[in-house]
Order: sequence, then C-alpha cells, then structure tokens
Amino acid sequence: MDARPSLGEFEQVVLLAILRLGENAYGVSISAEISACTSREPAPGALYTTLDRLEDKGLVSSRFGDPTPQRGGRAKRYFLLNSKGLAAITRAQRSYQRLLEGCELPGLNYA
Amino acid sequence: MRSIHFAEWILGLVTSPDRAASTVGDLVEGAADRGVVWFWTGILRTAASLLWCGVAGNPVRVTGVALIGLAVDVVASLLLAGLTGVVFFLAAWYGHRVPLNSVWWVIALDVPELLVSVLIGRILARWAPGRELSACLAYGILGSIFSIIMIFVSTGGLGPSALLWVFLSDVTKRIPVLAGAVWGRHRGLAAR
Repeated sequence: MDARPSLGEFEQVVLLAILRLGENAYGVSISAEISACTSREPAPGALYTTLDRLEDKGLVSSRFGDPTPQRGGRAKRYFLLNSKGLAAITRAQRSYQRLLEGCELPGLNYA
Repeated sequence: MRSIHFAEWILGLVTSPDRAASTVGDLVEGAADRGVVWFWTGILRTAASLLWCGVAGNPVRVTGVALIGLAVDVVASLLLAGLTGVVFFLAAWYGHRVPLNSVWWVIALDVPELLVSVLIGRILARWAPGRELSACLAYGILGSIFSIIMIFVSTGGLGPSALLWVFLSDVTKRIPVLAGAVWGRHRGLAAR
C-alpha cells in the first residue's frame, strides 16, 4: 500500500499556484493566480479548506506576515511548498503525463 | 469595522483565531473590488466549508462524540420525565392541582431541559477539541434522525408537514447545545 499522500485535482491546482507564486503565496494571490490560469474563480470556502488540508498533510507550511491597514489590520498567511509537497505534485503530474502520452488532444501534442 | 470583528468571530468558531483573522483579512482585501455581499457570502461559505470539513476530516470520532451527547440527552430526558412524574404524583397524592399553565411551572419544566442542553454542548466541546461545532452539527443530524425514527416507531408515521415541524422544533432545541459548545470552545481556547 502506498503511504504517500494522494492529491485531488483542486489540491494539485492550489499546489501549482503556490509553486508559481513563490514567496508571495497567500489567500488572495493564490485565488487570483488560479483565476488567471484556469479562468475559474475558486470559492473561498474550497480554497481555505484545501489550504488547511494541504498543511495538515505536511505538503505546505504557512507563516503569518505583518498586519496591514488595507486588510482591516489582519495579517497575511503566506504558504510555501516544502520538499514533500514538491515531490507529491511532481509525482501527480508525472502520472498525468503518462496518461497523456500517445493521446491526441486538439491543440496539444504529447508524443 | 465592527462587522469585521463579527466576521472574525464567526470564522473563529470553526478555525483557530489567527487563521480566522488572516482569512477575514483576505476577504476584506478581495471585498475592496467586489463589495460587501461578496465579503459576507465568502465568510458564510468559508465557515460552512470549515464546519463540514471538521465532520468529514474525522467522521468516526465526531460521530462517536455526537453519540455520547445523544446518550446523555436520552438518559437526562428519561430522568427529567421521571422526576416530573414523581412531582405530579406527589402533588396529586396531597390533593394539589398542578397549574400547568402557570409561568413557574413552565420555568420549572423548561429550565432543567435548557441546562441539560447547555451541558451536552459543553460535553461535545470537551470531547472534540478544535471541532466543537462540527461535533454539534453531527449531534444535530443524528438527533433529528433519532427523533424521526422514534416518532415513526411510536405513531406509525407522520405527514410531510408534521415531519417538517419535528425537524424545525429539533433545530430550535439545538440552540442551547450550540451555545454550550461555543462556551466550551472559548473556555478551551483560553486555557490553551
């Protein structure tokens, strides 16, 4: 039995958004990145529960920034992908790639 | 500004205070472009998602805690019914007429029930630290299923409107349980 954490589709989307944003990954920027890349705005509830779940699985870590007046004096919670998270997303994307190999999709070429 | 504190209080019921504060901060930042309705919809949807996650994240434990609450509820209801029966019996024995419509009797019958409900909320909070309201939700769902089954067993079935009435009165009865769980959560957070 594989003890490595399995990732759902939305979890992969969130992990990739965190990876793309690097040091500036927090709720608003992650949501904006997902919207920009997938043309789908994630529901806040789904996003925050997924972020909590990813942290519980040990795939991301979070730290609190300084409070700012634009946010009603509330601090940002920054997320960072750790080595376990990076390994998990790499493994999940490899699986997708293996599935896509040999498939003919319009506009995409996976030889 | 007061409404932001209220939003933070709502989220603080289902997640840690620092996470609640940062989530509210994110929604305040987003609401600058999208408006107040988006902010409150976001708060309520996030709270509902976190509440349900508390049940789905550890269903066995949360259901177990809810069943403990339900068992306490059944035992306490039987004890209270027995006690009320004894009081009525003694009153009749000594030739007193029990004025059921008097305010004092209503208080005497309802206050113990209210206290037991608050106590059940405290028990749920004690046995499910960090998931107090999720345990409350599971207790409410199981309690409603239990009530409907008991009504079907005792009366042989009810119409849809009567079932809706049972469900709504059950929801009303859960409010003191919820208050007890919130109280327990705040005490737990203060102690940690």
